[in-house]
Amino acid sequence: MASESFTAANGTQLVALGTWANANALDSDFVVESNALRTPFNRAVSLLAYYVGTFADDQYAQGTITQVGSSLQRMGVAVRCSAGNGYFLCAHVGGWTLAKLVGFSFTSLASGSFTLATSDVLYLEAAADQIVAKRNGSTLATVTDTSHVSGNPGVSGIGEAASGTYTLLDAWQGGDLSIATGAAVRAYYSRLLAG
Amino acid sequence: MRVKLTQDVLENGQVKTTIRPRRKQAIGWFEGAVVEMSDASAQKYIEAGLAEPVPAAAEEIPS
Repeated sequence: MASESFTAANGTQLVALGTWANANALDSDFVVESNALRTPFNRAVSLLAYYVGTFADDQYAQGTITQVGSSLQRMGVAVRCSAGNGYFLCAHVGGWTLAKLVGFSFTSLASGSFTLATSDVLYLEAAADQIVAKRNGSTLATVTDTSHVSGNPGVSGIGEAASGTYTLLDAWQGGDLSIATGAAVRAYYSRLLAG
Repeated sequence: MRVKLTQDVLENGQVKTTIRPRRKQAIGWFEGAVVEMSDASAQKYIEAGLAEPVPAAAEEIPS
């Protein structure tokens, strides 16, 4: 399992932490703020970055919201990322989106409304063709998609951070799924066993 | 002109995507994304209720 606490001076670029690479972001797009992660000022679009390493195809990522911004700026997590590719879940104060980036082209897979709160844990897993998004252990969406079969877990963000009211993500974890930890893995093998 | 999208912008049933070729970065036109466009286009998006103007940048980030 990989983890990241984003412990660095304010303004430090995510990639400068040494274990991150951009899937659809510039070096200056994710930055540290209050030992957590935010999107930048001025040029925040739809951002993905991933943790460098070797991961199983069935994998998860999760992170904790440590501050909720008042604007539409979103933070979240991602799985099966590579350059120009990945699945991601991100949330702002009033809603969430599950989407995919395929060859630098976006598709929304599911979305909804909720009230994002400090300490909320956003979680995304990919197992076989099942992509499962959760908040605090409760499933937001389960979709079937085969666009990506491998890649790395990561982080996501959309929108511009408004000064003083950023949405911040911290306590990031990413790793391989097991039958013990992956709801989608269990569902997949249950389907197989059921014939 | 820079605008903030107030809802997802769809094109052919998908989220509208544009590319910054020099930076090799895709821009997904999701709710909340801040995108740069001509003043005329911005006005159309604002009038359609799809976007709102964004004040001048408070912080410049180098490309």
